[in-house]
Amino acid sequence: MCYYNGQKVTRAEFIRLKGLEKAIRNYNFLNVGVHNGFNYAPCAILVPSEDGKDFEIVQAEWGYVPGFVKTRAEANIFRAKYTTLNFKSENLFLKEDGKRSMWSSAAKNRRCLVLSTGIVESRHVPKIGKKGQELKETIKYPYYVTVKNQEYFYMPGLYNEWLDPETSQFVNTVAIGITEANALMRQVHNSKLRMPTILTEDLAYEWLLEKPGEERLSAIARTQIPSRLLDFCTIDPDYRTAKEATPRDFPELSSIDTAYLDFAEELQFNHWPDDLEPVMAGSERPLGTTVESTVRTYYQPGMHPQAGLFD
Amino acid sequence: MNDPKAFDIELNGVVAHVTANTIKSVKVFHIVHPDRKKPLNITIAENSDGLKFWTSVPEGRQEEAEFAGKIIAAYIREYRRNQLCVTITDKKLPAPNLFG
Repeated sequence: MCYYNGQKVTRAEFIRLKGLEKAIRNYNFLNVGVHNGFNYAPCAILVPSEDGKDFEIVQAEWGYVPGFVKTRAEANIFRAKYTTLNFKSENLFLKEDGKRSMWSSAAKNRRCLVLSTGIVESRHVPKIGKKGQELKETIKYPYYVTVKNQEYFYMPGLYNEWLDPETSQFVNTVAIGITEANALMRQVHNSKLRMPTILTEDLAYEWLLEKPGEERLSAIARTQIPSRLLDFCTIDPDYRTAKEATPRDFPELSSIDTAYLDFAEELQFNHWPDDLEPVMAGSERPLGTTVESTVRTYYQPGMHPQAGLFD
Repeated sequence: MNDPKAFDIELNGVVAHVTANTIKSVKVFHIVHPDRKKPLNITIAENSDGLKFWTSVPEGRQEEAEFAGKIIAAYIREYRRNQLCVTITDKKLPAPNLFG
């Protein structure tokens, strides 16, 4: 018989708890409010478990490092030269020139999901000169964008398990899929006209745990969430240092054109169900409608899920 | 039904922030105190008699785990009760028109 925290437990329970200890040792980062990609800080990603039927949460550095990079110094040089925080979903398997893309192997074998509560993008507004003319220089107004009625959402990721020779430890590195911006994000991220791909729960499941073909994977990676399913607000520009997105109004900033609420937005890769499309002009979404975002957990036959906590 | 992924609870007169995480298919609550006290991870385990109990992971903070666990369980029960109310209201048929 074993004891855990002074409580008499079975050997199997003891092993389970000890295994859990090991798994959560590095999980304090889950509370970070805002991850700044350019710090290459660790974030949480979901990767398939060995049997491919469930998933694990693991830590990954945001900023993909390919396998041919040998040392941490080389990795730093690589990241300084190439921005690999994101992968362009249009180039998942093929580049513009028709050659195989650097992401193709990861797209086939190392897909993951990146969990997020919201994204921060900056709207660039030209400064006005003394004569009232628009200058090239811009002021950046950060926006915090979330998915309505969802605390968390999933973005498709590609990861690589990279061996850091200095520590002899495997380090996961990850890139997040981006796609063509919708009407809202074209205004918010007006310098690039791009946005992160945000997946429905079903597509997230398919991306992570199923084996779709190249065409299907490309279509999933290009998913465009309709603007009307997103909420947004301007936030304090100190979000990078504060690591929190604090709402703040900018009276001088013109408001976002929300005409997209009045008509069905045409997006080539809108894979979000129509019944989540709220609405005709002037009407409200019905109260209590939520986008389900439950995490699926698979239990092997004969294996009992963790005891119910609140019954 | 979705349980809350992040919420605040009151522990000994101060507000602590809790995040719920699923790690290795196990629900783990990560509690961050407003002061410099070390964050606490707690989960539910089962003793050799089959009874459930809250425990800290790693070991060593059993008393704190039991105290925080009870408050978290109460919070989630209340949250679920409120969620149920929303669902029932949402699905309720409109009242029949008495004057049609």
